[in-house]
Amino acid sequence: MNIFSRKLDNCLVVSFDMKLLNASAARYFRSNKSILKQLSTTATLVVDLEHVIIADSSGIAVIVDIYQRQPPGSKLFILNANLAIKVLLEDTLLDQLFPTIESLEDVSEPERGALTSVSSKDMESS
Amino acid sequence: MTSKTKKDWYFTHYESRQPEPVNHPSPKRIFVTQVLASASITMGVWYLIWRWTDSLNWGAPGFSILLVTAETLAFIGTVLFTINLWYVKDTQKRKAPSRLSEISLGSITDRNIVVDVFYPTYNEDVELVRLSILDAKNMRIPNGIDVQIHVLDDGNREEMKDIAIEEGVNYFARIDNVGFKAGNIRNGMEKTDGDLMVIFDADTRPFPAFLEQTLGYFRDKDVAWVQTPQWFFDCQEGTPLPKWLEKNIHLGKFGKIVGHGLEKVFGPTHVGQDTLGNDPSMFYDIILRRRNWCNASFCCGAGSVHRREAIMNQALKRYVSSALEKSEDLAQHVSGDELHIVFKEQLNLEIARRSEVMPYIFHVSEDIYTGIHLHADTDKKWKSVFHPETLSKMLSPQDLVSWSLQRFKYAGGTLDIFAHDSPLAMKGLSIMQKIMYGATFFSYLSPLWIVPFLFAPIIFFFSGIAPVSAYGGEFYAHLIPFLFLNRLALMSATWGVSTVRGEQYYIAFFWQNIVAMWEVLCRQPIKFQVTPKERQSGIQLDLVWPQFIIISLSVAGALYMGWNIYIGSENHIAAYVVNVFWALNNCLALSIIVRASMLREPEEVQV
Repeated sequence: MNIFSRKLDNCLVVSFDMKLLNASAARYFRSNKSILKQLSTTATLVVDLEHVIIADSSGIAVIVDIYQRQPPGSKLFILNANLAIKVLLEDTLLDQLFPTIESLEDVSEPERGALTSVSSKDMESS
Repeated sequence: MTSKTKKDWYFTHYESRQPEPVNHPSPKRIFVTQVLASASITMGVWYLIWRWTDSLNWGAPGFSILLVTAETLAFIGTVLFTINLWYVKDTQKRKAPSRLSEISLGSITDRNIVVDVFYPTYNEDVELVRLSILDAKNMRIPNGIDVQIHVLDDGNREEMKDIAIEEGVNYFARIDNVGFKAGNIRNGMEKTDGDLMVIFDADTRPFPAFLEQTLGYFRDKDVAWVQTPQWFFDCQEGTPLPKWLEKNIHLGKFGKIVGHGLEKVFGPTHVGQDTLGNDPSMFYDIILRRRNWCNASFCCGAGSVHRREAIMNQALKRYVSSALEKSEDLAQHVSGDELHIVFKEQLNLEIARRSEVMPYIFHVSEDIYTGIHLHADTDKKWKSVFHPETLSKMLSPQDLVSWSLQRFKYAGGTLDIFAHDSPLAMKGLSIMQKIMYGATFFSYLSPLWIVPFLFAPIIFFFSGIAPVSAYGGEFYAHLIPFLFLNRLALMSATWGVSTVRGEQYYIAFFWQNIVAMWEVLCRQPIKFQVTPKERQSGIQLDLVWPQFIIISLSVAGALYMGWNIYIGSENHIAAYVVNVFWALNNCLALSIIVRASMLREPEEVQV
């Protein structure tokens, strides 16, 4: 279980490197001071769930937790959610607040800001 | 271990008490109850038809119609209560699970089931909480279950922390008190990750079998929570009738024999038992248990087990939908299609940023309210289970101040839910669930008919105006079959459970109930207050003055009219007799709360 973040201009990508996103993962996230610190200044945030196979409601609630720590006017996107997670997002209605995207390209222009100049491949390697 | 507890309590000598075994009504008895109840309702309808069409005193139309309306409302309450009593079916008990896969879907690796036991506390005596922790540690743990006990201290007390450490359990406090108990539990949930959560009050002392008996129900993956009965082991016992007649009334041997004779007919009777009407067995064993068959038994907080997934799933749905609703309200003022959409999207996000995710709704009745939302979930169809056997013991409010506060919270909380988020309008609830929740709500409207019932005899005594055209044979012929059958139906349904105090307080509580209704109507927030677990001192007659005034007026009225009859200036003798009995019944019911207000401290056991 690991959570790491990488900053791309004014966009922060938080990746959950774990198979199970559940209550313990949420708890682990809340104890991760270095990421929590960055959230209050992040206008555009992408939660990357590439490695997550199964999420439950306690785990997915971490998205709200992240979002509420961001400043007013900020946005949150969910990247690489598998089908099961999409079903859960729909079921909990969270999809009505947070759009799911298939690649970082989908984050619309104004939100990405200067990000446009960086190719998605570069981002993955960074 | 108990040697560690330094204190002696008023309840120390009740420690060895055991709860009464639960009745299991036979199909035959259920059938008899149903026949009696049907007959009683039929006679009730017949009586009311006669009342509306053929008995009103048109000399006093206002008074007559007021009273017959009150009678009709009371009858609707009786019908709802009868539906509640109709049937009893407990959920099949199952062996406690031992692996996560047995209780939940979708896990990659199977493992033990983790159970969190939460003890939210605020200002309860820390040694009292220690007793609870000791009993929780003493629960037998089924195979494959990992149990964690957590003290959630909203009082942020050092001495509470010390006790938690001494007893080897977790201790969590927080800086604020947002959401009171519901917020406190949320804080506990954020710091833990169990699959199931046991919610106790600070004074809940589980029996060793608590987990063995409750966890099995979660094998049904739709079960969201299991509620067990709350049992107050410190209710006053009272004196057995024969002993009371012998010693207190000084009738000696003769009294003892008469007492035993009476008990042969009416069953074991105690005098002065449970003056405060705290014994909740009528509520748990009859009302709640008989809602289980239609998935409508509700959640009462202490002594319940919850599936974390159900609670969190519902919390997220509620969080998003309430944010969307609020923003829709605001966005409707913005015209122009495109602008409306842009505005609303932005609003959704900003309202959601400021809203709280509440696993348990921040409300004075957080337990019942959260349960209603789980029952009303349109996709998940969560189930509730009521487990009939008592699995823990608790302390009851010991004086009228604490008692009033607790009842006031129940009444105000329930009325508030119905006033602002009515279950009757929730799509996800079945008809039966709506009827059962509606019955609870309707019972809290009782002042609407109880106040006219209390004043009718008084008005009659002083004015000579009767709301019924004639208290003759026809009146008795219509009323008595209903009253008689109704009593039989109730006795048959509640055999073995005392209903006397419940019926008295149903009337005597009218004033506290009016205050709760008033506060909800004025949209004053029902205040959150922790029910004191220790006796408040002082005379409490200031709480019962309305009841006291009605008793005084009834007695004065009866004497006044009696005197007028005696000197020959009044001749409504039949009506007078009916109203004297009626007033007497009112006074007997009201007197219980006046007596309760004069309850003294129990004798100290030792210090």
